[in-house]
Formats: sequence, C-alpha cells, structure tokens
Amino acid sequence: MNRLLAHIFDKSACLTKRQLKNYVTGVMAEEECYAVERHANDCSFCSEAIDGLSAHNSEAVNLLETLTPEFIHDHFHKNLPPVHLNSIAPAVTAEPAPAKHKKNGISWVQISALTATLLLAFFLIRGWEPAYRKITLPVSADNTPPVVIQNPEPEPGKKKTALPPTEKKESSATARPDPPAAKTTTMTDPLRDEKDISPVQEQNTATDLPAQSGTTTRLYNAPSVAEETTATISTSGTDHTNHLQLANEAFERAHYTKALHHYRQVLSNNAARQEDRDAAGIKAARCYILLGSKAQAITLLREIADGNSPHSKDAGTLLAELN
Amino acid sequence: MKTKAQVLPSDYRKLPDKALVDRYVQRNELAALHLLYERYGHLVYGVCCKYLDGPVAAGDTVRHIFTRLPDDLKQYHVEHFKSWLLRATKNYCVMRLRQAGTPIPPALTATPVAETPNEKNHLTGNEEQVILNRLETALNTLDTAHRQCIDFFYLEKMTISAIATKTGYTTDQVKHHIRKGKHFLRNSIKEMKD
Repeated sequence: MNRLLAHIFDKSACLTKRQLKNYVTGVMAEEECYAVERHANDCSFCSEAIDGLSAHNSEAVNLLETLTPEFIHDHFHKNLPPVHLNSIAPAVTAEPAPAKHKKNGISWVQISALTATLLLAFFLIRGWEPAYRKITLPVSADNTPPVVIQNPEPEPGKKKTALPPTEKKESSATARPDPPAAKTTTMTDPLRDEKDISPVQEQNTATDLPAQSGTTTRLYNAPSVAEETTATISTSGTDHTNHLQLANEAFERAHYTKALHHYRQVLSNNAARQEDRDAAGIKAARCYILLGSKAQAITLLREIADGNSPHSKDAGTLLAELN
Repeated sequence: MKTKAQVLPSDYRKLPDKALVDRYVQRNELAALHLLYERYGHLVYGVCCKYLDGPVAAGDTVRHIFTRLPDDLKQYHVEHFKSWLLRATKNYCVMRLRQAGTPIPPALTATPVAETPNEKNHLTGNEEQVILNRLETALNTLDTAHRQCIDFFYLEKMTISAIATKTGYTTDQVKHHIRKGKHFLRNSIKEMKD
C-alpha cells in the first residue's frame, strides 16, 4: 500500500486538446481516463475546462476543433510586421540630424562686440587724441635752446584767459610753413590744472603750455602761435616795441612761453633802449619762474641787478625772493 | 501539408511555461506564444464554456484573451503562467457577465488555490520512506468518506464514475472527498514534520 501512496502528490502535465476532447466525448480507455481524472483532481484549470466542455458536449467539442492558433499569427503580424532584410527592404532616406538647441544666453561674439563698442565710446567721450593730432613744437627761428620746464609753481591770484576763436583764425591766416629743422621741445604744463578752457581754446594755448602736468610729454608738429606772430612782425619790419607789446599781452593771458619768446626778442635786439630791455628781462625772468626754470631766471635777474638801470632794484628784490 | 505547429522547434515543446514566457517577452519569439496557446488554449475555451453563455461566446473570449496576451505578458511580470492565465480567464468572464447583467457565480470570484510544488522531487530515498509511514498514519485519521474515496481512487485506481457508482455519492461528491482527503493528508504530514 505504501508504494501506491507514494505518488499521491505527484503532478502531471495538463490535458492536451485531444485528451480533453476524448475524455468529454467518452472515447477514452479506462486507464487513460483514470490518468485524466487524477490530474484533473489536482488541477483546477483542467477540472473546470472538463466541466465547461461537458456542459455543452457536442457543440463545444465541434467548435473546439475550429480554434486554431492562426489568429495569433494574423494579429501578431498586423501589429508587429516582420522585419525585412536589407536587400529586400526599400532604401530609407536618412533624416537630417535635428538642429542643436540654440542657447538662450548671449554668445561670446555678442559680448566682445559690446565690449568693443563700449571701449570706443569711452575713448571718444574722454577725448582720446589719435597720432595725427600730435603736434611737435618747433624751436623758433633764432635757434633758442629747448625750454625744459619742471613743476613750476603757479602764480597766486593769476587768472588765465583763453584766446577767442577769431584770434586763431587771424593767426592761421598769417602762418608760414614748418621750419626745415624742427626740434622737439619737452615741457610740462604747471598751470593746466588751474585752467578752465575748452578743447578749442586748448588748441590755441597748446603752443604755450603744451604738456599736461608733470607726467605726459606732448609733441607738436604745427607751427606755434609765437612763430606765426614773429613771422608777421619780421615781415612787417616792426621794432622791439611791438615785441614788448605782444609779450605783455601774452603774459597777461598767461601764455608764458609765447611771452618769453617775445621778451627774448626784445633782449636780443641791440637797438632797443636799455630800460625796455631791463623791463623785458624782468618779465622774462618772471616767465622763467612761472615755467619752472628758476636757474635761468636767476641768471637773467643778476645781469639786470648788476646794471645801473631803474629796474635793477626790482630785479634785486625779485632775486632776493627767489633765493 | 505542414501546419505552423509542426514547424515549431522540437526543443520548444520541452520548455516549461516560464521559459516560453521569457522567450516571448525578451525575444518576441512568436513560436513561444504559439506553444503556449497549444498548451492552454483548449483549457481556456473549456473554462469560458463553463461560465459564459455558450461555445460561440467562449470562442470569442479565447481569441480576445490570446490577442491581448502579448501585451499582457510584457506588461506584467508573470511567474506562474498557468495560474495567471486561469485567473485572467475568470476575470474576463466576470467582465463579460457584468456587461450582460448576468449574476456572477461564486466560483468565479473565489480565491484560487496556489500551485503546490511537486513534493516528490524534494525527497531522497530515506525521506520518502519516512513520508510514506507518516501518510499511512495520517490515512487512519481521515473521515470515512474521505478515506473511502482516497482508497478507491489512489489504491484501487478506480475512476470517479466507478467510485460514484460503488459508493452512491455523486461524481462531484467523490471529487470533493478526494480533494479534501488529500488536503488533510498534506497538512498532517506537514505537522508531523514540524
């Protein structure tokens, strides 16, 4: 008995279509029928299938014969069409690659263009002067040495006045061409910070005080106003009185270089009176002082103080102040 | 003329359900789906015949279930295909009955019995002898009806109809006694083991 009970929990395969149909129709041998029942006793799927087919015996069995798996193939191929080989399948045109997503931010090209525009606007506003505007200040026709001016002390209470635009027109009308051997003059502008002049006026005063305070050296190529004036004087044949008058006017307008030039013309003119020459010498010394060249001012003042002119006392007083 | 079933690879027929399901899910192999239909299509049809109106509606249901099967197998992680298919079939029958307004039988909504593993595969020679001794002991504790049906079915190898004739029970009663007696024996052996 033990051996027969040994297979009580064994499991067998589910019924096939033929087994199910034969069992329901009753055309199955007794041993096979027992095997079916033994399996159906453990398998609810087969058991319920036997119950269902048994309820509709002949009709259900007839319809069971028509249930073929062809519909699975039809449905499968409809939804998932078979893949063709490359030799059979039509050529597929390659789709263009999708364009890269454009960034919303500003590109480096735009940033650099903006920076260049800002820099250009900055230089234009700040009055950047290109190379063609640079002017070399030539030395005057009498070959005077270049004037080196270093950190002059502004004269207290001295107010500068700028030339009107019409004066420049007159000066340029009488201008002569550049001298052939123009020497470069290096100078600093001691009074530039105290001035309040426009760029146009600055051009007029550039020959007198060409450089900015202490640091920048400017080279001027255009003929100076002093030379232009000198040319006018020399061509007209006037004497030292005109030079003295022009020098005093330039001194009053704080054009010290221009004034110094005319004072030197008076000093070098032997035809001038000694009194005028001494007065021009004292004024020239003042110009030297204002332009920062005290040594030349002292030399000039000593010459005047040593003489017997009425201006010797003034020269001595100024010399004492300098010392 | 060869049918499509005949051109199936011979190895496929030896594969278990899980392997066939995996082959379809992972490789889209139509042969695996075809073989699953061969194994269970007629059973699905039988179940549908039991709960639905007639064989025609059952046939339509079979086609519908196996048409949806490819998608369902990929959607759900199916471990036990047979029990899953029986449950899916019953659910579809419930849906059809609700649409028709027909009362749903309790057997359709009952909790299905979980598949039990083949216990013989886990036993060695000595263990089998021990289990058989326990079975004989447990058999003596069964009810008369259960013991009688178990004896006729497993020891005498009588068919259910023959047992019904001999004992006077109906075939359904015989089936019920056999199932209950077997269930009691399994539990008794498990208790003895513990």
